[in-house]
Parts: sequence; C-alpha cells; structure tokens
Amino acid sequence: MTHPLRLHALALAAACLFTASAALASGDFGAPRDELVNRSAADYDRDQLLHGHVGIVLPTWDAMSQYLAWRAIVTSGQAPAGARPASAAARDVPAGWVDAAASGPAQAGDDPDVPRVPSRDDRPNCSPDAQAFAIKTLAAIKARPDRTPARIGAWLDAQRQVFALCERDPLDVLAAADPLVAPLPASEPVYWRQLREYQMAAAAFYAAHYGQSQSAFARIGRTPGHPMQGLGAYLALRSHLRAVQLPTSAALQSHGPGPTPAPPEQLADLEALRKEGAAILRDPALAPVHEDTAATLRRAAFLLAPGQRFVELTSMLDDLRADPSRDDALDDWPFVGYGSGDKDADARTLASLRKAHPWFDWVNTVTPRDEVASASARAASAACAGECAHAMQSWSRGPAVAQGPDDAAAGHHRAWLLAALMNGTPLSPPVEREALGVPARAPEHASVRYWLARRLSAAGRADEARAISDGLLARARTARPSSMSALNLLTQQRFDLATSVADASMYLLMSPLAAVNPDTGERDASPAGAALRPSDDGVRWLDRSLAVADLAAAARAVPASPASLAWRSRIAVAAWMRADLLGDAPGAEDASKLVEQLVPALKPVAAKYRALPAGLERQHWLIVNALRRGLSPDPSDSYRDGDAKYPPQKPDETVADLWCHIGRSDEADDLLGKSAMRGRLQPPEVAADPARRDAERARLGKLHTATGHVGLHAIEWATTHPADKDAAWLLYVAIQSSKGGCVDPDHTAISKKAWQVLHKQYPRSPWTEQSPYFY
Amino acid sequence: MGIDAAPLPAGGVAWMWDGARVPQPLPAEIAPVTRQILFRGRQVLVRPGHPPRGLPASVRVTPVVHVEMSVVRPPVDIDAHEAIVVDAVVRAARRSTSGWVQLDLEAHPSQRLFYRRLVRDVRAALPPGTRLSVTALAWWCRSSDWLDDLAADEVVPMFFRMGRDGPALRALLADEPARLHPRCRDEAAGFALQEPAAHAPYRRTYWFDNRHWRTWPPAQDTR
Repeated sequence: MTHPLRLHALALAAACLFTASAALASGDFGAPRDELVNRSAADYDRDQLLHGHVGIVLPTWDAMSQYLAWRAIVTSGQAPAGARPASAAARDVPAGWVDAAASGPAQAGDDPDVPRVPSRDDRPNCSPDAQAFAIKTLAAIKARPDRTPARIGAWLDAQRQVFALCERDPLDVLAAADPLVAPLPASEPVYWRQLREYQMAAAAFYAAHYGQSQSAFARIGRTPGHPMQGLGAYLALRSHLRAVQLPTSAALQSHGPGPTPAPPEQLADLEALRKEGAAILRDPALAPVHEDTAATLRRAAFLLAPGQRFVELTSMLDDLRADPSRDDALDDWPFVGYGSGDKDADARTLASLRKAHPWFDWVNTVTPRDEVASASARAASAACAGECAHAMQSWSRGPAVAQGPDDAAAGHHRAWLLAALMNGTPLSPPVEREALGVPARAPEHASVRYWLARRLSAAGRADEARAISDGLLARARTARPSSMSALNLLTQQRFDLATSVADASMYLLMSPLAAVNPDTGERDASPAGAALRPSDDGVRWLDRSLAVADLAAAARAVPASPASLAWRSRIAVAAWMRADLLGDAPGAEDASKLVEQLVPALKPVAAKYRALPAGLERQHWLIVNALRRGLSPDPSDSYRDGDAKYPPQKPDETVADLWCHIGRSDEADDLLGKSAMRGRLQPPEVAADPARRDAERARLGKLHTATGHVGLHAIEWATTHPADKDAAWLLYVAIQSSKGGCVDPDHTAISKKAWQVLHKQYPRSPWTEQSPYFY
Repeated sequence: MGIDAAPLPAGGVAWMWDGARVPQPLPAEIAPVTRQILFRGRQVLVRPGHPPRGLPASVRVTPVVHVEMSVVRPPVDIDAHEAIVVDAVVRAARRSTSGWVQLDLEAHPSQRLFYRRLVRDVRAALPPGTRLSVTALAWWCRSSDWLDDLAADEVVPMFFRMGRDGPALRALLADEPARLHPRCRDEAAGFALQEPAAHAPYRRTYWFDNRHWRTWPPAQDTR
C-alpha cells in the first residue's frame, strides 16, 4: 500500500480485459421509507419523464429526477429523438446484478478443461467474462480440422499462465514479474501462432507490462485475418489507460471529483486516449467493441480529469435536443461533483456553474441545501430566503427574456414559476394568476397546482386550496401512465384540507407503492388490490385527534371496499374498546354494532357484549375476546390483524399486548425512527367535540398498560367469579405477560398477586401448572 | 458541502452500505458491504459493493457479504448455490484488515437448516486465522434452534428495526439479558443510531445509521 492514490485509481479503472462497466455505482439510502410517497426520486421512470410525465416535483428528489422534471417542463415533454416510448415497462430488478447461477464462476464447469478465474471483486484484474471468452475460444479450436491434442494442450497451458497472472495484483506482478508466455515455434500454423500472440499480449496486460501489451494488441488489431483482430485496437486502448496509471509513469493527481484543472500531462494523456478511442468508434468493423470503448473513454475522463468531466457532463445535460442518457451522462453525473474541500472556492464554483447551466441553477434552487437541512431554524430561514428570492427574480424576468439560443425561453419561465411556488415565498397575485393559467396538458400542471394549493392553504385560503386539490385528485385518478406516489401525495394534501371527520376519512386511506427492497432495489409485484393504509400522519390523527364518537364516524365514512376493510374494522374496534375502557356504554354499543357489520367473525362477540349488563361483565367479556382475537384500542398497532379476520390466538401463547399507551403514537414513531416524518400534513381540528376528545385522552392516558390492566382485571374477576371457566387462564395470561414488553412500575406486584390467586384458588388447573413463577 | 455526519459511538464498528459516507472522525473499524447476493427464484444475482477507498491503513476493515432472499420471487433450490456464498465470503475475507469477515443473511425460518449449514461451510472454507462474524435477527436470540453450536466466531444480534418484537426485546435486553441465548449476551451486538441502544457489556458493537452517516435527506418537505 505504498501508492494508495495510484491503487485507488487502478482499482477504479481496472475492469476485465473485455468489458468496462457502463455505470459507476448505485445505491439506496435515506431516512425511514415512506411506503406511500416516493420522496427521494420521481415515481415515473426516465423514459416517462422525458415524455413529460412528471408527477409532483418534490424538493427531496435526487438531482437527476429534478433535472428530468426541469427538462420535461422546459421542452413541454418533447422527448429527444430515439428515446424509448413512455410506456416501456420498468424492470423489476435494477441494473448492476449478474446472475452468478447462470454466468458466474459456477459456469466454469461448462468446460472443465478451462481453468477458473477469480471474480472481479476479489481481483479487479479478472472477470468471468475472461472465463467465458476462453471457453468460447476453446470450443472454436476444438472444432478446427487442424486440431491436435498437443496444440490444444499447449493453448490450455498458456491460458493457465495467463489466468495465473491475472489472479495477482497488477502492482505485485509488476514488482516481481512471472515468466510471460512464450511464442509458438514458427513451424506451427499461423492460426495457432496468432492465438498465442493474443495470449502473450493478455499475459503482458495482466502482468502490468502495459506498454508491451499495448503494442502487441495494436499489432493484432492491424493484422488482417488475425482471429483476434476485432479486439486488438480496443485492448490496446485499455492497455494505454492502464499505462498512464502505473506508478512508474507520472503520478496521477487526484483532486477529488471536482473541477480543479488536471495537470497538463494528464490532459494530454486523456486527449491521446480519446483520439485512439475515436478511431475505434469511427470504424464500423469494430462495432462489437464500440460500447466498451465508449465506457473506457468515460472511465479515462473520470480518472484523468475529473473536474473537466464534471463540467462536460453538466454541459451535456444542457442540450435539450440530445438524449441525456448519451455517454451515460445521467448515470455518471451524480458521481462527480464540484466540491474541492475549499469552502470559498466551492462557493465560487457553484455560483459560476449556476450561471452557466440553467438546469443546474434550477435544481439547486428547489433543493434544500445540506447546510439548510442541518442548520438552525433561523439560518435555514435565511438560506431559504436567498433561494426564494432567486426563484422569484428568475421568474420575474418573464418569458420574453431568453436564457439561451434555444426556443425554450417560455419553458424556462414556466420552470421558474414552479420553483417560486416550491420555495415558500408569500404568494403574489401575478404568480397565482400565472399558476392558475398553466394548461392541463403541461408537464408541470400537477406540480404547479399542488404547490399553489400548499401556498393558498398556508395563506389561510383553504377553500380555494381544497377546490384545486379536488380537481387534481380527479385528474390523477385517471392519468395514464399513473403515478401512485403523486396520487397519494394529493390524497394527503386533501386530507390536510378536510373540513370534518367524515371529509378527512374520505382521504385517509391510500394504496402503498410497489415495495422496493432498499438493499437490492428489487421491485415488488403490482400493489393492485393491496390493502389500503393511512399515512403516518393519518395514523397519528386517528390515535391522538379523535374522540370515540369521531372514531366510529371515521370508520363509517371511509369509503367501503375490500381493500379498506382492514383499517375500517381496526378503527371500529379501537372505538369499541376505548368506549368500554372509558365506561361509555352507548358509545361502546354503537361501535360494537359497527364491528359486527364489518367483521362477521366478531358478530357473536359483539352481540353477546350488548346482551350483558353494562359494567364489569361487559369489560370482562371484551377483555377475554380481545386477548383471544388480538383486538386493540390502538389503531397504530400496525402489526395486528391485516385482513379483518381476527383469527383466534393459541390460549397458551396469549399475552396482554393489546396496547402500551393509548393515544401516544409518537413514542412508537420514535422507536421506528419515524419522528423525522411527522408533521408533513395534518388536518385541522375537525373533531366534533374537542373538549370531550381531550377529556377522553386524559383518562385513557392514565390507564395501566394492557399488561397491568389485564392483570388487575384478572385478579378482580377471579376473586368475584371464582367458578368462571376463564378465570385461571386469565391469571395465567396476566402472569406470562408480566415477563417483559410493555409493563408498569407495579407489574411485579400485580404479577405476584395474580400468581397467588391462581395457586390458591386453582391448584389443579393446567394453567397453574404452567405458571411456576411470577415476574 | 457542509454535511454533518452522525456520530459513531466510541469503539463502535460502522456498518456501511453502498452510498454511505465515511463517518467523521474516522472510526477505528468499518464494516462495508463488499458483495451483495440476491437469491431470486432460480437466479442468484450478485453485484459488488463499493466500499470506501483511500482510507488510512489505521482504519480496520471488516468486509460484509450481504445475502438477501427475495420476497418477490422466493428462492428455489438455494442449497444448489451455497457455494456461491461460500466463495464470496472467502474472497471478501482476503480484503479484511481486521481479521474478521461478516456474513449478513437474514434467513427465513424455512431456511434455517440451509443457514446453519452455510455458516459451517463458510467457517470451514475460511483460513483458520480469519474470524467469521454473522449477523442475527434479534428474535433468534430467544431460540436455541438458530444459535446453538452455530459455527461462527461471533454472532451479532441486530437490536434495531425489530418491528412488533421491538419493545419486548429491548426490555429483555435491558432487564433480563440472561434470558437471551448465550451467544447474544456479550460477544457482539448491532444497533442503529436512530433507535435506543442497550448499555450491555458487548465486546464489539456494530452501528447502522439510517441516513448512512449523512444528514441527507433533510427533514422532508416541510416548507
């Protein structure tokens, strides 16, 4: 590790002899995932965005999603020539994976004669592609009429030498070179000697004798009829790139992926490599290696002149007539940057980049900067003020002022209109007028109206915001291609603008997005028909903002469908249990009737509940059945019944986990890391009787946890109803529940008392036998 | 760019998934993913991780091989491809500068026997001087089936993102650690910066950051 910088560069550059990876990397990270709204990237894929399907632009989108949205707005959704149709199906697993079961090391068994190569991640010098190519070559020579066992054996021996070299670190090999492959005698046929020439060149490449391999591959490329002629020029290019990274050549200067000018010698190297590459790309006979050549040139630019590469890519994205995916600009841009570590210099660079590239300026304007995210509210406000003012100034220049020689000046203006709305500046009448005038066919229509509604709502003009939201929702429901993320965002906005419990309930539930595994990028099957669910804000609203009567009203008002049944029943059950815990007999009876309608399996339970006398008898019946069926007064208990069937639990595995603390879902949010997701959209006060709601919450908040509550009830019940068939089991449940989980400070005392009653009153019960200890 | 990294508890090992920023100040040890394997139907999809480069030699590296079982297309005949995982871990171990390599596989209950056999075979394939660390779902700590005689040198129960078991397991860890499987009590444990962590006497602790050691993304669109 004496040359960490060079090793770094080598490792970045070193791919297999045959292929160069197109994209540099990809990853998925972020805060707790929102299952309803894709907040980190556009919901539409690249092709759909290019055709003007934008959805609702969010400041939290990644830069490339925002770029594509900007581009769609500016071009009015005119996709560049050659773009795939917007309807092209998205892949259900992202790029970058290789099927090892089909093409990886396991395939070495395809021809047991061919020695196995190590994988690229172990030694970046080698790859399974080299293996596959060797297998193919072996098959070809075995089919030749002039084959002999000796010739095939000689080829295999040489190939083993090649792979032995490729297994080693290039710098190690350079330091102590192994004997390279020897040429075949002149007496051998030319075909066999030419194959050996190729093996010799490959050996030189793997041994880091890049000058030697470059000239050998170049000679092969110039030799008409050479069996490897098609690869010669490309592999010479690869050798050349490796050569300029060698420790024996001038040290590469890396300034990080920033625009600091590279040293002249590195620029000269890059220029030379680009000339070589251009010659390959001009030659139609070399079409099979054109893609790999282009990838090698991209890699060379990244390694030798990263600052310039950043500027190149940024400029490439300026061209609205060209495909932004050309030369992998969209994929590579996120991996380069302008940061050099010098704060002042970076600020100057940022300013000049924003001035030179309209899209870059727009993306930076709508994206909250890191320092804003981590700064104090005051500093954040000041920073926002700067961007807000910039957005307004840019918009105020008007469509007549062209920002470039293209004919997209009006498009630029429309993009700045959206930026002005997104940036939270007070809504001015001209901005509002123009926002209302954006035609429905415009790519930015939904975004402009969504953000306009946000501004109107913030200005206290909820009725106007609601009307806009209703219109947007109606359009989003029929839009094709559809965006579930946009639809859910609009639904949440409409929920935020609700006028009553019933109104809010209409917009409470949404379809989850197709799940994407954050580790693998694997996309789940279509969520069509999946159970609807509320947002985290919706769950908090149910848990904290509603009285029992409101909960029942919400359960009735949520639009009925098989997909909404689980949450409607969960809300109704919560209303029932809360009313019972509060001693609200009419409320409990009403909610029990609703539960009966929604959950046929609970009909006998609900009917008997109402038939019992109010008080302890009903409480007992509900507790026993809540334990047996997993009912909860806490609608945020998301792990509970997901399909509204409430199957019976096993008696010996039952625990009193019906609730921890009713009406305190914030604590659960903290445990799940969701606290950062709070407070996006909350409906205004819509409870029918806020004072009653507050009184109910206060009383519910003073209750024991379910463990303590059930324990105290079990003791009371066994004492007053010693002959009841469930009494011993209930005591057993109380004792088992006190082992852990949600418990109260007095849980040991309750557990001990339950244990004493159980052992004293039911010494022969099997539940007593299973309860040797209290906790 | 003014990004504030989340602090890594002293002595902790930073788990680093792709895209993660190197914690600052530099930790003594990091555990980056160097290989990802996805069992998906009859496919075994593999891709390299992108561990940070250019770190000073003083930062020890424990390479992690992350294995995922698709829930979209459940894997078929995983036994036939065990060698791919063994191979990946052995290769990853060659990059270790800490003496450890970690296998991160959240096996489903139906894959328990495969998992135990895999750990045994990985251990057998590794050089004697390389120690094998394996992550474990926290609920495995309440069962002897998963961890009894597991051939790993270290078991790292992950006490975060535990879902419905979270409160109970946290309580168990805090109040009654003796009820955890012996392998979950003191050798190693994994926590997340954004969730409560136990003050248990673990020899090694691994730390996951929901934000991958960044503050980005910020507190969403609250404007």
